[in-house]
Amino acid sequence: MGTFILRRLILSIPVLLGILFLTFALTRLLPGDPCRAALQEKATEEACNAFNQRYGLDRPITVQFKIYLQDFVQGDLGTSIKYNYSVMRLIVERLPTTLELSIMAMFFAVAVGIPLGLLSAYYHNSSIDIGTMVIANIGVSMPVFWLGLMLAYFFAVVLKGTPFVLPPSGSQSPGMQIQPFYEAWGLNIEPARSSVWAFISNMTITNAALAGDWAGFKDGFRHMILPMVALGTIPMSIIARMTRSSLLEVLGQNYVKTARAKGAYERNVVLNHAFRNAMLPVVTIIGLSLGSLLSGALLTETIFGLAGVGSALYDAINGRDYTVVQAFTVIIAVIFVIINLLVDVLYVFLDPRIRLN
Amino acid sequence: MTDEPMLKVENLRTYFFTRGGTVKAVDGVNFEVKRGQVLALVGESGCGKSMTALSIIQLVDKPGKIVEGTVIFDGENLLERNRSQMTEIRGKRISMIFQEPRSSLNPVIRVGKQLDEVLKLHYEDMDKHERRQRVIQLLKDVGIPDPERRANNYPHEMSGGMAQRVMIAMGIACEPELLIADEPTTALDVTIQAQVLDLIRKLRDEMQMAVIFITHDMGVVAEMADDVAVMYAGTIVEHAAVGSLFEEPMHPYTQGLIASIPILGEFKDRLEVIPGTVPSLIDMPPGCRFASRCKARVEHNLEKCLHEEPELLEVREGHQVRCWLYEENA
Ligand SMILES: Nc1ncnc2c1ncn2[C@@H]1O[C@H](COP(=O)(O)OP(=O)(O)O)[C@@H](O)[C@H]1O
Ligand SMILES: [Mg+2]
Repeated sequence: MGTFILRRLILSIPVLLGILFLTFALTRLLPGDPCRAALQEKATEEACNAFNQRYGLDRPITVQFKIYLQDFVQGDLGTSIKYNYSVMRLIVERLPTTLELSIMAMFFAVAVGIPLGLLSAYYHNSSIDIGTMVIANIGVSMPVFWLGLMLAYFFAVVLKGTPFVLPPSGSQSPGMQIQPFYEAWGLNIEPARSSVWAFISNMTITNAALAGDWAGFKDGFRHMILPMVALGTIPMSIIARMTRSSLLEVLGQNYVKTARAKGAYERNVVLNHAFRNAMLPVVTIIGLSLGSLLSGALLTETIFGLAGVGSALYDAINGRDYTVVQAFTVIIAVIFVIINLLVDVLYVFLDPRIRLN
Repeated sequence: MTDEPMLKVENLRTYFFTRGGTVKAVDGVNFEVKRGQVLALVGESGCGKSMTALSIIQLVDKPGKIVEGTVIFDGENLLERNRSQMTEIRGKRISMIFQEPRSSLNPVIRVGKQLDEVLKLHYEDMDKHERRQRVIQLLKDVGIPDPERRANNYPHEMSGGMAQRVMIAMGIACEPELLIADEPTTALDVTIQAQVLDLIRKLRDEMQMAVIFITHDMGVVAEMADDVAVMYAGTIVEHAAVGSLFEEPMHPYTQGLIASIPILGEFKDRLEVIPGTVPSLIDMPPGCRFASRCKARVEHNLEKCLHEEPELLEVREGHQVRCWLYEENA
């Protein structure tokens, strides 16, 4: 297992280089000029020359790429042209929200999708099956922004005044102050704005949980419910359908007949013999839907007013903020590579047949 | 030992209700098996052998359904049991092994654990340690070398022959009264096949199990069976002791099957084949199901065969046949 992971990690290096090259090339291909975008009406010839010199944009493109690579290896993602501070700081400010949202949405998708698919297959062709699949088919064809708006309307407007009302925007109620968890733990540190400490404490719910702030946790969670459902519904539906069809196929396999012939109860047959085999294609689907999840996250953040990567990336693209666009793209791609690695590891764990080669 | 049959199947009918119509896979089957006896169920593929076996332990998948009949096992009609009551019988008192050993084992579970599961299901008072010992003993009994190590194998790490031994070990784990073996050697090569047959015979002798042995291979029948039931298109067309059947096959279909056995060392210009194909199980013609392929019908110029279905009648002591040729002998 260890060597497998190591081998996969080494194999990721060329992928990573490819990603770095592509993002670099793509940002350079964006029409428009960073100097004009940043300085706008102040962008005179001289000002632009100075600007380009300062950000190294006057050097030959190959040299720019080399510098970019060197900095990347040293953990330096550059300086935002627009905000004029390190991109790392921007990431630490914005990525935690997106990450928390994506993880929760995926958790929702898996925790609801798999049981739905199971039920559906178990009661194949019954009204439960039909009902579940109608929901899944509607869910999979629902655009994120539309579902988001409908959810916000329903839970924030229609249900206003009932106990079921949910906040339609932001990640915290106004006036809610949650101590950073390291302070709550009594650690006497003043972390830099781009440190791991800051990163974790920027994840509202995680921070509240770590700090032991129950009220803050509940508040943060309530804010995340609607975005989570909006973002998680498509993958949830895909997972439910995949679980169902995969389980149905597995239930027709010979070894399932063997399990029944042994005298196993039907529940045991489904959960112990069929389920693990049926999960193999589902794991693949989960990995793949994480890709669409990230792009959906950007939309969801906009609808629910969450300060995540989405709005930062949007601004950066409009402002020709090369360094930021590059950095975020690379980060998302790296996350994707890591997720794929995890999926592969999970696959090996689930299916002993892969271990041999 | 009494003469009461261990298992008595009467008028069993299992139909598949499909869009294209009702497939009468098993259509009025009768037979019995005594303790310690091997009954071979033979016939071409698709004639309903597996469905007959699966009906006995009520494992027919949808859209199949047992529509009629009784399955008397040890004096009790199993078809009156509900689903959860059947789990007490399956694997413990009646066990079944299948044709494709490697796909019949769960690919993601170690074989030792799969064996252990049968014991766990049926012997509640056995602890983990005892079960482990029994698993090793079982693997040893079915002739698997180095059983401690093999128990930790996954099915894909075993050959077909080894996997079938594991299936057999699973089948005999709870010392069942009846073992149903559905073409257990069809997927194996010839030498392994002989070993597996020997093993089943040995276990039958040691444990006095009744065995229903399903095959389409008449050579295997000659080697294994005490009694033989020949199936054709969902019905039994001939039933006799193995000696009687081979010496004097009565049904033209059985005669055809026996003529098609290749004999080692004997040169035949070509093997006999039975012309034609099995009629559709959805629109069964009236009359004898074999009529359209029957040479004897043409030779004897029998009109009746096309209009009226013959019954399975005892034509000689212990030898039943379903054919109009023997009408007056009955
Ligand atoms: N799921 C199914 N749907 C419709 N017909 C089926 C199904 N399964 C089996 N059958 C029918 O049952 C008949 C008997 O099958 P089977 O008992 O498996 O034959 P065999 O003698 O080869 O074991 C087949 O000819 C097939 O037409
Ligand atoms: Mg069969």
